[in-house]
Amino acid sequence: MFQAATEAFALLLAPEHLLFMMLGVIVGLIMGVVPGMSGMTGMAILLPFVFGMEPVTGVAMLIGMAAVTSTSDTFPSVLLGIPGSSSSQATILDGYPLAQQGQGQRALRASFVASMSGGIIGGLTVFGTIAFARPIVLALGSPELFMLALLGLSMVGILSRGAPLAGMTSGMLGLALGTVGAAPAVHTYRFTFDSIYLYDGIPLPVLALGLFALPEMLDLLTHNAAVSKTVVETADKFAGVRDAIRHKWLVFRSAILGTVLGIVPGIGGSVVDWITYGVTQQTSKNNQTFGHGDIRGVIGVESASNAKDAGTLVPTLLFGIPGSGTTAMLIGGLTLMGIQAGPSMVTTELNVTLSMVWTLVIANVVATALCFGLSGTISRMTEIPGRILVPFLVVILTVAAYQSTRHWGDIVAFLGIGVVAWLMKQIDWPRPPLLVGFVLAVPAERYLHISMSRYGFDWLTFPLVLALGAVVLLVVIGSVVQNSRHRRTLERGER
Amino acid sequence: MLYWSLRIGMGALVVVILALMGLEARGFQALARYFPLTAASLGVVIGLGSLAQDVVRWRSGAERQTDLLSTTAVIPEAGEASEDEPLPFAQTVKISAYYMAWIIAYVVAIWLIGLIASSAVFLLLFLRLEARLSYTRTVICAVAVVLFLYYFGGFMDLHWPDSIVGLE
Repeated sequence: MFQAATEAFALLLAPEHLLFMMLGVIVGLIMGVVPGMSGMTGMAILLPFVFGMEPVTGVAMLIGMAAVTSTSDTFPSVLLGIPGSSSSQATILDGYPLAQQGQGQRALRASFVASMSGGIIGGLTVFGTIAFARPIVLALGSPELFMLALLGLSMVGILSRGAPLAGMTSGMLGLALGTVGAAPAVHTYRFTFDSIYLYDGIPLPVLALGLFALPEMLDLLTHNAAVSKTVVETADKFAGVRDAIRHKWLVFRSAILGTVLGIVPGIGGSVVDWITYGVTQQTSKNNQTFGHGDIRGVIGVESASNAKDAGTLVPTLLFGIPGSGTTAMLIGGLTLMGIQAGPSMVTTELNVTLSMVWTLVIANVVATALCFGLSGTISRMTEIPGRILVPFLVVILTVAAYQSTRHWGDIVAFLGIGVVAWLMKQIDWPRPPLLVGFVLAVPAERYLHISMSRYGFDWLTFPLVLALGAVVLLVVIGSVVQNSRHRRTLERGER
Repeated sequence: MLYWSLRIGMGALVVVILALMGLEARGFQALARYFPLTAASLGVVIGLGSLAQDVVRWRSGAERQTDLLSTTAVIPEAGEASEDEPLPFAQTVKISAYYMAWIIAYVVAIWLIGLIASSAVFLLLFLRLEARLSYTRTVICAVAVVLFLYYFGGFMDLHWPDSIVGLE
């Protein structure tokens, strides 16, 4: 295995492979920086070029692109409060307040170091586990996957700190909205009102942009303020790097969590950052500052987000089960190069698999270096007054929203959701639980349905289900305790 | 007062929406029904609890709670009136509605004359009238965005919404 890894590494260092990897990295960086664009769009751009390419070269380009979107999507999340992609939604919670406090550059650099470390740890973990990951993945049936979806939902309590009832209502609304469109089990279209646009449900990018982008834009316009309310950026360019080093264990454990959640097929990449945020907050000391610009909230999420990309390779390559749209297109790309995803990826095609792992590691390092170089210039965006910056954002986000399904409904939904989200922001209704509920509705319903049809109620007694149930219960109890502690602190403060 | 009216109104609206979704779900086939029905029913129950809590807090004259985890959590500052004092809530709502009207007008313009043309018009008008940029800067910005949309859209194979006039 180690000899194969060395050979794959040497193969990847050939100039033509590095050149195509750099092309992928640059496309990936652009996809991350432009809000609403995703790794899937990048794959769509690059896919036509890989036809007939040598597998290692084509894979270097595709993986190079996919690996770095999770790094560069931090720019809009931190600097503008707009999710760069679905895997950087939770980064906003602490990254944007840090930018508002004039510490955008620190947040960005901490996030880049965490992303790079997460990507490398994830790659190495996948390298160490790929040989025996097959039985682990096969041990996870629909009941266990349903419990993992419930674990994600239990984070709603943590995300609605200070307003648990409003947060849970928000989460339930998200779950209900997630059921719009075709039912998973039968031929029924739900809540579509005969609109073709709603047959596939509300697109996630449109919901995320509406929930987070439009309210921020309106607030910036209303107050004609720059994102950064104070200028406290220091000449210390390594403050963020030191933050990441100081919280090295958080980086490490978040990377492992991200990799493991990435390996689990069917949960979806956009849930990983929310689960990681909840776990980071609950397991951190002095966590009252989370949501107000705590660097740990950025570091944990970003480390897990890049590590997850490595994890998703396991089900994608070993079973041909794509964990996301991006990995689904990766399977398509492999087919174009004459490779079939499946057990052969760890036998006859092992060199291709290992070259993917190496590309992940190298692309993460290259992307971090590039993002570091760009962060100083791009973070000056936070000093531009709202009424100059926002008109450009309005144009870009309208274009981005429309690319989701290329239907007028995208723009209408973006505006409608945006107005409701702006109201939610003004009246202190938590918005993240709505997104978590929405994201988890489809997997939760699908796996619950399969579990019930296959096992009746017997699945409730499966050992792993019971273990995961206990974890969910602990998270719920923890968030109740945290909420009541938080409320007491606030009351004491008021007195 | 406006804060609590909006908060209670929002709570009531969400409960009504969830209740209507629950009622609609009752008409679905059994396998398509149970999940949305459960989510909507739980949402109605919790939503009513949240609504009752808000009414009690409003009646007891509670202050607005600002320490919530709703992404930014910070009440915007640096308004036009003062660098330090936040704008009054009613004024915030009024100004935001005004700018929302700008954005809606931009979308209506896209529907009428197409995305690239309306983006140019929107930027020219907004940057000149609201941002008070000079004529030269305004024109440079608008032209730059149009060129960016044209070339980036071509490279990325982006699609533009259909318009009545048929322009892009």
